Amino acid sequence: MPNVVLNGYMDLFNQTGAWLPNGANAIKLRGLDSPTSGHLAYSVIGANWSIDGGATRVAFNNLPAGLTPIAATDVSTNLFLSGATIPSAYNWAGTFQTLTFNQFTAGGTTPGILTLAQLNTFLQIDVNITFAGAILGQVDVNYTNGQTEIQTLCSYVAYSVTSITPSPLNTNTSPVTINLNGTNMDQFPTSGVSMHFTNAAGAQVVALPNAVLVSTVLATVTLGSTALTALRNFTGTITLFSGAVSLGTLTVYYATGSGIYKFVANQRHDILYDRSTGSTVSVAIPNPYGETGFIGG
Amino acid sequence: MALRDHQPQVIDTFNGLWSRGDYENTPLDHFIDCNNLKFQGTSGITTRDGIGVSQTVAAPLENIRRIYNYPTTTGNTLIILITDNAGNGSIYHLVSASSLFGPLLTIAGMTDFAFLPYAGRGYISPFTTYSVGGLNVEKGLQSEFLYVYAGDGTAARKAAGVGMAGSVTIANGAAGHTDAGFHLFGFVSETSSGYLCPPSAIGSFTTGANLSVSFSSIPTSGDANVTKRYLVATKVITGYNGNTEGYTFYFVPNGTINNNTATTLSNISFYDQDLLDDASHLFDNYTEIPAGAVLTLYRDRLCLLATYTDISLGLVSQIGEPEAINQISGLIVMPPDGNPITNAQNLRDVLYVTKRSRTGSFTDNGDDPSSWPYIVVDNALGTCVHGIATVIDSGSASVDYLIVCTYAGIAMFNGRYIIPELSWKIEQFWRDLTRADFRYIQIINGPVQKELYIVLPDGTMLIGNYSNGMDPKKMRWMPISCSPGFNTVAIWQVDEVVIGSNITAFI
Repeated sequence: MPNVVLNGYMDLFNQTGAWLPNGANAIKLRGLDSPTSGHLAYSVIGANWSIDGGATRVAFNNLPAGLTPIAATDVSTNLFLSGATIPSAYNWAGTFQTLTFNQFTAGGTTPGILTLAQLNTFLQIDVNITFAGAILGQVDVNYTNGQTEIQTLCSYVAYSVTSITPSPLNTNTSPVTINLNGTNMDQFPTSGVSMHFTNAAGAQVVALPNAVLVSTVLATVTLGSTALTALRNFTGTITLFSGAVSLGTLTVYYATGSGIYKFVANQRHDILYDRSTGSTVSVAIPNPYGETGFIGG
Repeated sequence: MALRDHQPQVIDTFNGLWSRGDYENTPLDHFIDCNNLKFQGTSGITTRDGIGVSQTVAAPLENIRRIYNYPTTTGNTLIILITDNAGNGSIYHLVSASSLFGPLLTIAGMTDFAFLPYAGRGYISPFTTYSVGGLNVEKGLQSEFLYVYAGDGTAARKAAGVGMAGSVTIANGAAGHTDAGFHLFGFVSETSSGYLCPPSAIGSFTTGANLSVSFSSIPTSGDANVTKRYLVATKVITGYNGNTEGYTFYFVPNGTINNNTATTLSNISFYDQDLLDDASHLFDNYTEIPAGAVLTLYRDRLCLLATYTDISLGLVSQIGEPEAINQISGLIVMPPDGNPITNAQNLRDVLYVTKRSRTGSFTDNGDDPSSWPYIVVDNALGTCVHGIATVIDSGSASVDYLIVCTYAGIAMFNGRYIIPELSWKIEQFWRDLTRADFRYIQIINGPVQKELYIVLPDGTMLIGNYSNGMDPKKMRWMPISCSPGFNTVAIWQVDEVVIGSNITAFI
């Protein structure tokens, strides 16, 4: 069974919730070749972050002298949504199991406590989000990692983006947390989102209109033998690709809506069967419009 | 130039979709794109009427594949095909919004069906789409048959039937009369739908001139649908050659048993000259009629076309006997070309038969169907399985023309395809449809609304309004859509447009 091809824009913005691949109220994608299964798959393999709203990205490879970065291993998961149903529009949420930022250890010739200023300048987690498969269009993606929730409006095309490769750091299995005065930060409000990534054409930047709400729990940064307890606000800037492809309108059908209907004179909305409740549901008549030809021609 | 010097362009007429040539050539009173509008009066538009639920029962049908009108003796109803995720097709009879019979028939692999109402009964032929050499071919479901439904909620059964098994004991009866001599006797069973099975339980007896004939141990039919049995007999045979089917059998007057239980029939008298009603043709009838993709009625004959094994073959019944199809003389053949027969319709007493890009005709010459001449009507245009518009609940053509969905467009047909097509304004829109998906198209004509309703392969519907005239330049076209999508359409109760949707798997 081929992947379902979603041609066009699908607004899947969600504030809460989780993936509902087999939910009772899930909707199904409809295609001419009767796809009853398929998948949306994407993986998070890196992200760009800046700290405290700073415009300058920090990178692991910009560590102050004396600090040896650990190879950053961003654990990403392939969020694989399979099955015959796609969660209903307006109830999407993505869950990434982990976004793990590895510790970095101090080393080199100048060990010591990493100051906030130094942390402000060197910590960077790069995340590239790749949408694999045949998904085309714009998607609102919510992904959570426990206390991490990122909302962004992403534009994407059907190709993979090469990941940004920071200077490698030594891996560390302990998760990274950052807390402020003993309190783990769980919200990082920002405004304005942009994505920076590098592909075969070079460095790319995509500015996205939506605010990115980021919360992350990072492990205590340990420099040498001293734990750094200073907490930073992390602002994540997430961008997928540059540009967007507008492919028309995707029609999403309600899974519970099949049945026998009739046209009702002078009724200005549609009433559909709602088999989940045994009742009916009123929906708007989809986008009535007329576009004239060239006026003045 | 000041704004006040600009000449206003008034648009006060809206005549629907225009899809023909360059966008810049679209007339100002047409749309280059539109959706979900309804025509008001001669020139206005408004949002289309909303759709509402048709069934008011606790568990309404879902996964609708096909709907047909089914006029019964007591009212106008609907016959419906639904499918489940296992690929089984089930047929239901929707009597009213709150009354449903079924499933009447469940067949694995039945993704569509042909239907013909006749005398209150419904004839059902399951078919599906097969891929043959890369071509999608709609033909009768393999190893399946024509079914008959009585319209009363009982399960549909296979049409036609076999004769009775067994033998009969024949002896002289009381005083009476026959033409003395060697006769062959047999019995013909009749089903509840009026089908006469081939003569069976044939035996021989030499009658006496002044004696009647009595029968005992008359077999009963194993078919519970048999309601009557008839005595048949030959005239006196001299020089019998042992071939029980080589002689002409006749229905014997007064030789009727009005049940399927009695085993005796006594004291039957007749002369050979009383034997007028020939029963021999029953020997050559199909005892089970293979399923086909097309059913239609022509001169009170049931026509079934595009069987699984013969996609260019049509089976034509006897007049007034829809299940009596002679295996030899009841056949018509459209020249084989690798394409299946897709549709057939009676127009002005001519049976027009189509393939996807060909149209021909057969005309009843008063003789057996196998002798009807085939005439080529059009070697370029044809249609798909549901591509001829039916009118209201008749299942048949409009008064003096057909409206046909061809590859070139939606055309009027009055014996030839009329050019330009009715879809002249939306020529590009129609030609952009994928030909391989034409099997999904269904068209009906609503004369009360003065609209054509065409279900398109992508689950939307195209409405053709002809209230300004059924003329290519006066037609107004409007695509419409809804969340569940359109799979099939029918008109019920004269002017109620009924649609079926199925979003688990588009037909």
